[in-house]
Amino acid sequence: MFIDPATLSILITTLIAAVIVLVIFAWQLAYFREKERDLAGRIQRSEKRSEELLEHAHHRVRSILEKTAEKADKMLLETEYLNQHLTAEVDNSLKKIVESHQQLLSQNSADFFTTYHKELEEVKQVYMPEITRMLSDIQKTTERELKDFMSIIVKETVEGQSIIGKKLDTEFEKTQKQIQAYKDTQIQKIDTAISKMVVRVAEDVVGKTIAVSDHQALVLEALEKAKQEGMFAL
Amino acid sequence: MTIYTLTDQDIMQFVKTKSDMQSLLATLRQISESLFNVKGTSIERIAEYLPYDQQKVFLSLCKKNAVSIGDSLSIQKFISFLIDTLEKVPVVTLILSFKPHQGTIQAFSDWFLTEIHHPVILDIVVDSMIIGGAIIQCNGISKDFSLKRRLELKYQANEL
Repeated sequence: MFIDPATLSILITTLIAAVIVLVIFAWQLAYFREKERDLAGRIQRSEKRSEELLEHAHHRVRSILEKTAEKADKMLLETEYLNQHLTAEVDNSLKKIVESHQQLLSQNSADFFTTYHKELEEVKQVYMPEITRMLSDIQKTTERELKDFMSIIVKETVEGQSIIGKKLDTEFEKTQKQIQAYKDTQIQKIDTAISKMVVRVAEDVVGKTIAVSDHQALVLEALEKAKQEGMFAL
Repeated sequence: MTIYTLTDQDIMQFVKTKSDMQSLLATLRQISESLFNVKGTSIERIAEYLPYDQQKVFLSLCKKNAVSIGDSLSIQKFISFLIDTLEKVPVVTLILSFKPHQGTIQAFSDWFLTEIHHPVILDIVVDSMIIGGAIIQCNGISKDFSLKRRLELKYQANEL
């Protein structure tokens, strides 16, 4: 088999190029593997470091808390003591203040009472004659008004009696008229009753005894009268 | 148009009282309505509905007014004329203390014909309380001519 030199040279060149590329690739692969290992080591170290840091932090916090608790207990004890001490002192002070105030108040009250009593006495001295005079005036006015009132009452009573007297007279007159009217009505009723009785008797006695011919004659007589009175203007 | 005549005597022959007239008018209307509706002659209808006395009067009036008994239409017209005339006769109310018989009623009717010269229909009312005489009512006027009234007047005048 014959191969053209030109083609052979191209093939060789291509082969060389391919080998170079392969070498570069292998080198790159080795480089990346190295980098990966390095990175994994770093991560591992970092994790270890963080664990250490965390442990340290825990330890420190616990230590701070213990110290704090200790200090707090101490402070509580001190505060309790101080509180007991302060309370006793405050009580004493208050007692003293109250006592002094009581004393002051008693003294002021006595002073005030004395002053007030004195002023009242003065007012009494000043206003007593005035009040006495006013009371006297009121008494006089009341007596006068009562007297006037009594005289009015007496006057009105007398007038009232007079009015009642007149009213009684009027009522008496009215009653007399009513009695008279009643008497008239009753007399009228009696008259009517008697009239009816007479008519009934006449009806019983006369009515039954009138003959038909007489009845006829009476009716014809009535017709004649009616004619004379112009009733039959037909 | 046929002209019929009816004298005062004719009227008074036919009817005297209000109750008679009401009965007669009802009968005449009945006859008039039955003339064309029922089998039989006009004279049979008249004989059937009218009392004997009134039949005689009716037939004499028909004769007087030349109304043919066989002609239903003529009879109907004459009945109509009779009803109109009777309804126009004035009514006089007589309140009496007794129930008058036919003779007395006739006497009263005759009195009106002779004294007033006018026929009237008498509306007779009986009230025994008036004792005697009559209370007469006519043209809306009422007059008391009773014995009861006379007695009352005498009593009021202290004559009793």
